[in-house]
Amino acid sequence: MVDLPCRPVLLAAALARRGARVVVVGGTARWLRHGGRRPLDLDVCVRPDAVAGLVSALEGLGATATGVLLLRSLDVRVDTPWGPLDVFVADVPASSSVAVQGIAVDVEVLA
Amino acid sequence: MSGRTGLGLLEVAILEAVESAGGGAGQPYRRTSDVLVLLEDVHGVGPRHAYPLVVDLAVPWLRHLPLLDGYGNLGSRHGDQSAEAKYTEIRLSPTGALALAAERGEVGPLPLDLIEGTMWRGGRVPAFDPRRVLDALAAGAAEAGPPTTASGGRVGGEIDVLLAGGEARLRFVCTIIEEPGILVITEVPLCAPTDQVVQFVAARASRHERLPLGHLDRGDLPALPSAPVIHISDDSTGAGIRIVCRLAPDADAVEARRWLTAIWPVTVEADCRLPAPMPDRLRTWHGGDGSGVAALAAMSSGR
Repeated sequence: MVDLPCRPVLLAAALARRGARVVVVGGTARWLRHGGRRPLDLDVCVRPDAVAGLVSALEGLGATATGVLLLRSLDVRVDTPWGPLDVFVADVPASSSVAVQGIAVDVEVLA
Repeated sequence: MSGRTGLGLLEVAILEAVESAGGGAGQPYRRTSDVLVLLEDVHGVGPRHAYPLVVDLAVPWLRHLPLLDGYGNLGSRHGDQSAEAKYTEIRLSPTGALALAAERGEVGPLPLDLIEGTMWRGGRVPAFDPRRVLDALAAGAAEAGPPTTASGGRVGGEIDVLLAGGEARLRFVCTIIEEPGILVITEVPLCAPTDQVVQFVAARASRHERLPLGHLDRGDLPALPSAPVIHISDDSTGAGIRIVCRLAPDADAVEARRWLTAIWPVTVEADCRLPAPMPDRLRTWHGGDGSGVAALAAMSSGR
């Protein structure tokens, strides 16, 4: 059985490449900062005024989400070719950049 | 959960309702909506809650041994919704009838929980091959092989950890066969709809990944490699799944398979755990006089 890449991290990079302004939080943030158990999905925070950019980026990746749904529900799962994405529409936490495949990805600063 | 079959209370209630409606194994199919009315009258479970479970108990891609035999549109592997309950019909499958007999003590207990696990309903316990479980119980063996899924595909990952009773990350991978110039997906494990497989492989192979990204394609970003798959088509029929991925002329088949396998949900990972180490589950399972296991084994060998 072939090795799998860490798909949540690649998804974060793909979103950043397409201009989505999100901050990686949760298990993927912990994995990027400290290693450990590889995450199964990607959790991101996005400010309300950046939702449109995230929706556009997701469309570019072949995933389906609407700004109306995200802004109404605030906590939404979106399936993508890199696996599940949990989107939290909220104020974003403090973050700093981590380079993934040469792309700067904003990742929550953890204690 | 029933100690005689491992079924949940609602699952047993559904089987009883189907039988009460005259839908025993081999008897005429009964309109599903009539069974749902019985369920609501007797158990207070409304159709909106019960119908999805009725469908899950009938479709052959969720459980190795479906408990119901359905007729009509009960949805599909492709992700299609089932028709309304008034347009579908059900009756007990032979396994469902045997499960009811086990519940009533007419035959010995059935190891349906050992076989089916709970992943079919969203839980963390994977399924195992019915034949191997039954053989292991009959022989007093301590192992029944690796997990399997009713819909096929390969299961890999931390299987040893799982069987030892630990938290294990398993991988459920589509079966991919190689033909000249193409890779073909023929089995999709778990509940991943084939339409979603097609959608996401197509998305990864699309121009969005292989061509410049317009105003977003800044010069400081590294170029993305071309996708090895240039076209995807779903040639599936009622007889089976056949998702055809046509390779680029210069694509290496091994690399293309690696690329394809990395796409979700061609490969799905899940954290799984057994309620106890597999040898203990087999050793401590009590089959009574063994008549239930023997009947299920006879039925399974005729499948």
